[in-house]
Amino acid sequence: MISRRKFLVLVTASAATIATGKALSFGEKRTESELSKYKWAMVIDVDKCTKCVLDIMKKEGIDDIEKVRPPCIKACDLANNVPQSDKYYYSFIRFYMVKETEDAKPLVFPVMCQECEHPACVEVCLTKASYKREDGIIVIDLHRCIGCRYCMIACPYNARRFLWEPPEEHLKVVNPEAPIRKHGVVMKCEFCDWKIDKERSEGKEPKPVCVEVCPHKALVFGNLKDPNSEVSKIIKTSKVLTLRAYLGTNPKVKYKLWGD
Amino acid sequence: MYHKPYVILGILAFLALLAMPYWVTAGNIKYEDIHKELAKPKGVNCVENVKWMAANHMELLNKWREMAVRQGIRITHTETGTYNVSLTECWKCHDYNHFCKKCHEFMDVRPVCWECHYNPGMPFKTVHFK
Repeated sequence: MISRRKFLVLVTASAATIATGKALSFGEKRTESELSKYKWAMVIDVDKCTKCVLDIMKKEGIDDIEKVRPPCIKACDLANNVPQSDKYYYSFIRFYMVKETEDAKPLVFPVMCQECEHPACVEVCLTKASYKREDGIIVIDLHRCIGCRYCMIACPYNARRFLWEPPEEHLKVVNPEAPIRKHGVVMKCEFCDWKIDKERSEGKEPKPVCVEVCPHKALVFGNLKDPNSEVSKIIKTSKVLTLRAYLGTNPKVKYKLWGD
Repeated sequence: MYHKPYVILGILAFLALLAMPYWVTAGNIKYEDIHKELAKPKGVNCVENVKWMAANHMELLNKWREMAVRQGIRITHTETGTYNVSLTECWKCHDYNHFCKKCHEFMDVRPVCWECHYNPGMPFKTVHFK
C-alpha cells in the first residue's frame, strides 16, 4: 500500500511535469496558413474617380452626390445582393466631395470599408462577428451578427450599413454566391471575399467586382506582401494618402492624388 | 397497497400511451421511407458517402461555413472529388422543392439557412459572376 505522503508527492510531481511541458510548448509556432501569405490592399486614383463622377453628375443632371451610380457601385450592389431602397443608403461605396474653398476644384473620394490594420469595429464587436482575417480583410460573420450596431458607431469611415428592411423586398436579381442576408444585420465591403477566395484557389489573379468593372482603371487591387504586385509598386513610387491617418487605424485602402 | 389492480392497470395504460407512436404505426413507417419519394439527384457522387450525407449533411454544412467564412477556404477536396465550399454546389445536383424541402417537411425540421441564403425555390432571377 502506498503511503499518503508518497501519493501526494507523486501527484504533485506529475502535475508539475505536465504544467511545465504545457508551458514550454505554448509558444510553439503554428503552421502557416494559406491566408497569411496575403495582405490585400487597394489603391484608388482620386483624379480618375473625380472626373468620372462629375461627368455622370453633369450628364444626368444629378445634384446630390449620393444619387450618383457609376459602374463600380452598380456592379457592387448586384454582386453583393445590396438592396435598392429609396429610404436608406445601402451601397458599400459612398462618394464624398471635398472642396477647400467654395470656388475650388472639387475632389471626389469613393469611401468603402478601409480594411484597417487596427480596426475599431472589431474591438467593439460583442459577439466576435466582426473579425480580421489573416489576410487583413475585415469580415462580418452574419451567422453571429446580432445587429447591435456598436461597430457602426466605432467605424471612423462610416463604412458600415445597417440592413433596416427585409432585403427580399428590394432585390430583383440575386447572386447565389453571396449571402442575401436578413434584415437586422450590419453589412459592409469585404473586398468581395466570396470572389477573391475562389479566384485565389483557382490560381487566378483575384479582383473584387468594382476593380473589374471600373472603365477608367482607377482602382488597383493586390497583395501587399508580394513586392512585385502593382499595389506594392504604386505605394513605393507614388504619394498615397490614407484617410484619417491620425486615428492610427492604418487603413489598407490608399488614395492616390497626384497622378503619375 | 390500496386498489392494487387499478393502480397496475393505470400504470400499464400510461405505458401503452407512452409507446403509442410505435404501436399505432406497427413499425410500418420508417424515416428512410421518404427517400423513395425524393427527386433523384443528377450527379453520380455526393460530396461524401451518400448514406453519411443523408444523416450528417448539417454537420458538413457547419464545417463548410467555418471554412468559407473564417478561414477563407472556398475550394475543398474530398474522396469523391473537388468541390466549391458553397451552398450553390448542392444545387448542381439537387432540387430544392422536391429534395431538401420535402424531406425537411417530412422530418419536421426547420433549418434557418434559407432566411439568408439563396435556394432555387426562391422567386429570384440569378446573376453569376466569374
